[in-house]
Amino acid sequence: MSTKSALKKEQRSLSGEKLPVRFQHVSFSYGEEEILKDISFAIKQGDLAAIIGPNGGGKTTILKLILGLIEADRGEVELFGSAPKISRARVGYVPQYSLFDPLFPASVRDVVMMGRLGLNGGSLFKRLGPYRKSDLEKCSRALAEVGLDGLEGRLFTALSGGQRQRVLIARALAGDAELLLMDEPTSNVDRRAEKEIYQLLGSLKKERSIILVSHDTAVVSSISDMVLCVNRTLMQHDSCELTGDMLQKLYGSEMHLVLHDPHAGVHDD
Amino acid sequence: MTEFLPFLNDLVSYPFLRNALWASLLLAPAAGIIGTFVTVERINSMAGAVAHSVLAGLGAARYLQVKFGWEYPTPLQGAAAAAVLVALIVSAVTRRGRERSETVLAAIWAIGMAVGILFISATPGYSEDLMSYLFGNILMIKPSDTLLLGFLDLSLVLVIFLFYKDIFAVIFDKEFATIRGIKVDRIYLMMLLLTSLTIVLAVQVVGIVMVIALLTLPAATAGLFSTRLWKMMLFASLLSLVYSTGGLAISYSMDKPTGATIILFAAAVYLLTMLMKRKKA
Repeated sequence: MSTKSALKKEQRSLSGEKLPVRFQHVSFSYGEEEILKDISFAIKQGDLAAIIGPNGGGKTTILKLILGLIEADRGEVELFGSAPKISRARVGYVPQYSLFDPLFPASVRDVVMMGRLGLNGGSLFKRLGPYRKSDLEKCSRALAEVGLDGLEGRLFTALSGGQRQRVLIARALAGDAELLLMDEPTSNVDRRAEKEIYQLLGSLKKERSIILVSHDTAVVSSISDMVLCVNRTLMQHDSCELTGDMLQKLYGSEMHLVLHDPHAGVHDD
Repeated sequence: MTEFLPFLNDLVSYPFLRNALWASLLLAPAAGIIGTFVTVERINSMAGAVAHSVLAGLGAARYLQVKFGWEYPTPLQGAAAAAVLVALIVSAVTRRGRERSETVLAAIWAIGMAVGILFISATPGYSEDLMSYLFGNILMIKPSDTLLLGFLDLSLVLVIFLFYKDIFAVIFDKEFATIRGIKVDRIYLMMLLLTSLTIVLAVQVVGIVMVIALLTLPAATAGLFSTRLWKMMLFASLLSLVYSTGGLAISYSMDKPTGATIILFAAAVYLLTMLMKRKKA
């Protein structure tokens, strides 16, 4: 093993485990337009990392790179120490509930059970046919974890926005996710539901890493261990407090991405 | 009810009427399952493009038979080939996403019709059949066609049983399905191919012009009450059964075109149901 790769392995295993997410000098373009330019960061086990930034700044692109839905033009993306396509079954992706067809005939159970897809072995034979009893039990436990037990038979689209969002979180949990990726989970819910979702995140982070894309800078700074401000590039910032004023300044300034990482200390890129 | 007595009497006497009834019964599961897929996935334009491209396949095959004396392809085979080709094109266009899919579908729709009409007009003594292709003629259906419908139903039920989880995931959330390791493109193509074959067989019953209505009206009515995808498929199949057999009986008894009667029956139930549901809400 070369010194370089040995060093890499050592870096990965800061706490004895492979880092959930590591970006190293990653760049990505859609056609001529450069969306991400040379960004590097790492998410450690148990971190709740928030990604904030203006629309079109590259937040969703980062999520897609983590999920292996797109590939970096340059640099390296690692998910639990390997390529995203290999490890993405360990990730629970939570999109916005408002993206779903409001007329779709799906029960809460149908939606949550999707989290069990692909977990009973990779062969076609094992994948065929209905879900197993153990899958149903996982589904019930996941719904209980998000406070929606007993709603299995309800029509998904008949629930409130906050409840639908929690059903999508339960879908991610049903797949035994070690890392949750949440794309603006509170963008279309009322203040009460928003509070409930953030409380839920607080309890979920005890057992998993979470990456949260959000526009709510005030809440994000209070619950996150790490804040990534994305606008094409990344810079690490020495502030321990993330205030609305600072971000306001940041969005309109030359500084495009800030990493507030109390674990890693202070770095300037 | 006495108006339907001649229909029941003739059912015993005439094999062509029994074939028509079998076709009505066997078309229902396919129309319900595929109609639900088309409605929920919102691919009515794709279904329309397939239906109209069928005319090109039918016309070309018949032209080859009459003009050159070829035994094969039969018009049904020609229609199936055209429908499968369109499904492959739609799948490729959807996957690549470079062209605007609605534009491509509109082009296929019009080109299919144009090619079909050209072949039909060039086929000696064949233009009179144009009306039966456009508006269907269930009374002309052959026992071999009912067998094909039965085979299609069996295939669909098997596919839905085996792949229901994957099909649900692909329709509900393609991105999540991809992340969970589902071969989204393959599942989608499989459903498009089954949609195409269902359309080919349904065209013989209600015709090219009305086949989209046969797929969407029962499913749309079922969608007003269904809380789960499989229930919507089942309910839409039952409604299709009532519409197609009821429409056949009504049209035969009143001496009206069967395809049009089936569709108007289905449309009336859909409108009434929707109005009642709105009033209740």
